[in-house]
Amino acid sequence: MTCLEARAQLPEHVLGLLPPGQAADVERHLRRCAGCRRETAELQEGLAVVSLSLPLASAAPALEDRVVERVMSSARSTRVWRHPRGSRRAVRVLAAASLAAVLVAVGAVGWAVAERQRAQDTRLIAAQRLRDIKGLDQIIASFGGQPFQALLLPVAGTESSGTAVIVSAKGADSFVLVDVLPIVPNASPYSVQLIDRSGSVMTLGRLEQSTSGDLVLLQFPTQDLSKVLSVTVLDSHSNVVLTGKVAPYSKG
Amino acid sequence: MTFGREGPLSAESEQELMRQLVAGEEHAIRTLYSRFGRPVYTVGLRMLGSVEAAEELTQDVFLAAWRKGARFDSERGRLSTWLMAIAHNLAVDRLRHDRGAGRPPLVLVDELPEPAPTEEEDTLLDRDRARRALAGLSSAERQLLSQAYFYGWTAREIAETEGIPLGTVKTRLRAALIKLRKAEAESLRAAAIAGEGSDR
Repeated sequence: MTCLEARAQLPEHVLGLLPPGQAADVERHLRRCAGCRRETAELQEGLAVVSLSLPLASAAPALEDRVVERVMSSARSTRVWRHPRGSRRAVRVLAAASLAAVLVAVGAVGWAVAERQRAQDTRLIAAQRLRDIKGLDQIIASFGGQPFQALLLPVAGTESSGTAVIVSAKGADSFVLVDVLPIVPNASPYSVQLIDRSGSVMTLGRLEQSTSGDLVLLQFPTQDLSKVLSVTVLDSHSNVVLTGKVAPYSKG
Repeated sequence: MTFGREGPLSAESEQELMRQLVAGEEHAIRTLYSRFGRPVYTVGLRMLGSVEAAEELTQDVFLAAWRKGARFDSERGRLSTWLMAIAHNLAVDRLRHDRGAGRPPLVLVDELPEPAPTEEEDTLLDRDRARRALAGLSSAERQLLSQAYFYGWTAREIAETEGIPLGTVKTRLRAALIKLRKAEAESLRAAAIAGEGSDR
């Protein structure tokens, strides 16, 4: 999508009127275009003027407590992972979900819509953004085990990018989380492979579309993940579309 | 850091408030609600038309704020802008979901409020300033914005109804939103200058 095409759709996007597919296209453009992000912010400020101009209605006093309870109960449920009780697997799922939310939040996967010549810049920017993530270190540390990360960059002819986080731990606590921007051209379903030092290939499951539109995989392999060298995303024809080298997770 | 329930917050304070919200701290949730609960509820009531739907929307908006809180960046915009965008978009989603593919009944009233004195002092949201900004829109812009904002009509639906080119609708919607933003920014600048003057 070009800036011209995106800008034609921004007013409707800001007003929440675009169908999900078009909105995802615009979001993808915004992740890599600072100019269009600025325009979006300005349009949102205009929208807020409308919202804030409405004569205020009075809500029931009890609504505040209901709002507080609902948010706090959600927050409590994701905090479970800090406690040793309960299913370790459930704990890890919740923690990984938090991590995925953070990764998506900062658009850590959003910079590498890389023509190949921009790949180096892309790596630097994405790495910087990973360091920028507030609280990521804390989340990573909470898993225990040995954390790794990989920035997934597209092969020629593919537009996308992604992030993989691998935590190698004892027992069933290891996991792999992959979060990838929608891949263009689409050749789904996509699968993920890990390749270790000995050249062994570990095929994980398929990437599934998340509510944010990203493609996500979360798995808990029982194999040793400490020697994984690279992460690869394959399309339905087993062609490599994204790949990245695994490096120790570097604290921000 | 703790926050008052009234008065403007600096960008740093807004960021910190959101950090505390994401951490699930009760006082942060209550602070956010005390500042924005009523405007969010108002959007729900005006767009969805029932107390029940507005209350449900309000809960959903604050839950979404908690879920998306890590995305908030005070350097990119104010918290009120971010939160009200979530509120409006969730309301539009519900509106469009409830009515399916059909277009809502055509009720062409001027939904956007006219500039009028506010009944209560509210320096935080400054509705009076917002209403003055709205007064700067042409009637055509106000009508298009009403159709899009309150009814969730797409540009194409508005174009078909009004019998005007799609491109014109998109241009007018953009012009209206930018005009509002500029008027708001100018008001803020003027208020800041007046504040400096009174400080001397």
